[in-house]
Amino acid sequence: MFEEKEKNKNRGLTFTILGIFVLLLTSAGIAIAVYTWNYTSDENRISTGDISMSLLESTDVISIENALPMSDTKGKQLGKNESFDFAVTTYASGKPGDINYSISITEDAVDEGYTKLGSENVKVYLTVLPEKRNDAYQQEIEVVAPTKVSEIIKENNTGNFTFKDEQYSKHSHTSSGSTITTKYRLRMWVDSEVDASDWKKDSDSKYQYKLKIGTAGSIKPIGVVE
Amino acid sequence: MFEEEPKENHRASFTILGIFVLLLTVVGVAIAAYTWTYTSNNANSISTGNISMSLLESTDTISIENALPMSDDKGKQLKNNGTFDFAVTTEASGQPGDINYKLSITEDNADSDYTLLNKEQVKVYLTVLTNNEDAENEVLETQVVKPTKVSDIITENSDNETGVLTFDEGQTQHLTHHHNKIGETITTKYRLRMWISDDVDASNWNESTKYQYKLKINASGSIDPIQ
Amino acid sequence: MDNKKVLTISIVAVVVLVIAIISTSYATFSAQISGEKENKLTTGYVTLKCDEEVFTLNDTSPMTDEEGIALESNEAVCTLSSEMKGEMTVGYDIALDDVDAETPDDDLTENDVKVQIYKITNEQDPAQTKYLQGTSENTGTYIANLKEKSGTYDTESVENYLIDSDKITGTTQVIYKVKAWVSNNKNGVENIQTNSVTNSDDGVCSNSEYNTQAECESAGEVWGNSQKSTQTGGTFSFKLKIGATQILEDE
Repeated sequence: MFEEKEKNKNRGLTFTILGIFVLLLTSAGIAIAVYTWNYTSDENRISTGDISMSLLESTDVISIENALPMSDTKGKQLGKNESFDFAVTTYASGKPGDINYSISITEDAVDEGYTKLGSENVKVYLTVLPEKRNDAYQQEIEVVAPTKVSEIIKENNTGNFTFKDEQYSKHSHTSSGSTITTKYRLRMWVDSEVDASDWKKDSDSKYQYKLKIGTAGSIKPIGVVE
Repeated sequence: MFEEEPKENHRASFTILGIFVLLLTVVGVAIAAYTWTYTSNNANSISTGNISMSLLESTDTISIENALPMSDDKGKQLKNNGTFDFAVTTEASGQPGDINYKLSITEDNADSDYTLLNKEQVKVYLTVLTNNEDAENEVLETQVVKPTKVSDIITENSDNETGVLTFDEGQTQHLTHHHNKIGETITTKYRLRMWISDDVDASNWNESTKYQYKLKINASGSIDPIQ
Repeated sequence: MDNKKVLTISIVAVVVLVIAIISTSYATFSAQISGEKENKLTTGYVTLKCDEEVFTLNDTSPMTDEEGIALESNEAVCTLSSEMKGEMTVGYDIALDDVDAETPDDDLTENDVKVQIYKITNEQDPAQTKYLQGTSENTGTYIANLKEKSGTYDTESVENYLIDSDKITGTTQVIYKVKAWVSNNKNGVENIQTNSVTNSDDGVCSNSEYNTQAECESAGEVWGNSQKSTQTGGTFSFKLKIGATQILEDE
């Protein structure tokens, strides 16, 4: 008697489950049958190439001792020991077009025992070096005229040079896998307007000015569409 | 005694045979006496002298163009071109009692250039129309045949692509006209709707695929012999 | 006994006969009326199509939203049009598909690429342009942000990267546009400054032909230490996908 009941229960359960499955199958069938449409487009593609930028700094840094105010004409002629060479190199695996970059100067802390000269007292001057030394008539090209540091550094002890012509801060990568280098020479001196009358030997006031070069690149956001 | 028995059997056999001959004769006479006339002045009718039945069909037939699958809920609300009204009228000069009838649908051939839809792709729905006694000119509709696929009506066993409409439980009373008064005329009005079932996949239908479904309504009546 | 049998049979036969006669006389009414009126329905159709424009943008670089939006030729377009003979409401989901499927392991991923998504329902009326998925006229969103978004109507094939879900009725047109660019949050060429070492090399000539300081400097090149910042390239691709289905009940 008890066993029979159990059997019936089981059978009932089985039928219920079966019923649910049938119901599920039916509704699934209906869902599939209605109007449907599927579409997939072709591919859209966006790619970036490998790009690198290097700043090569000469080991010969500017180290002028006993500097005194001088004219721009004299400053522009400061020799190799009183100037600092560096190079900006960009490489692109693809053809990204123009890589624009900026060159900045950052004021550095002075050595112990020195007082920092005001940035309005120091002038900087930037030229581009000829591609090859034996380019007989190719001289240094002035890209940033003698400028007071105070006019360059505005905030956070850093400021960008304003180039006379933007072509001197731009590398045009129009063929794949190209490397482009531009060499620069930086000169700095104490501006001729500075009153150096109280600069004396062994005086308490020993002045100094230190700066670093930096560069930051950006690529003009135009992709190459093929 | 034992031998006489076959004689007795013979007698009984003859009696039975005689009765059957009589029976067949009566039936035969009855059938021969049956006559019917057919008139078709906007109505088809068949009559046996004092009993007649007619099917009055509205001229506003169902004529749905650009049909797409729709749900039962929407199909049940079809209007104008989506509905077809007809009436079944029985008239008896005497008191024959109950006249029972059936309604059936017959599939028609599709127009040329069209392909006939499958029976399982089309649904029909039938309601009875009654006048609302509370509001004049308002018609009440009562479902008598729930939305049903034609394939469930015209089944594989159906003759001549005709199938009888099965009325919903509790609605079969509409199929009986009680003629209990002399000279009574009883009419039942119906409204038929048809649409494409919502489980039809119309994904591949386009400008050049032309499907159609056509059907007609029939009525057949009789007096239930048991009554 | 035999007579009784015969009598019984006779009575039964008579009863049968009586019943038969009665039934037969009532059965004289029988009618078959075939209707004449033809009821017909003729099918319509629904066609949906997407006229697409795809883009290939090579050698692009990280950029701001503003630059990315101003950029040209970085726009995937799907002009979704419907032609309906008859009435039907179709629900559709449009999504990105095969996202970064070809180069999933390279340096350009859905976390680097941004999109601006919008739909135009009336080209004559820009006010009806609707920006989607949190993008605006001036801002985009990372493709990674779309990843968890699945379809409403075609949940089977649109499981993620949903752009929009909408309904369409009648003969109409909607234009979907997806602008894509590499975000400037992607590590590109960074600032290089003296002593801020990114990737430093000592004893390098500005012209790689020269290996010693003497050779380098006598050729007018710069000799020193070099710092390098690199942007590693990559490829990112996607398709547009639409899944549509009839909606039977109007909500």
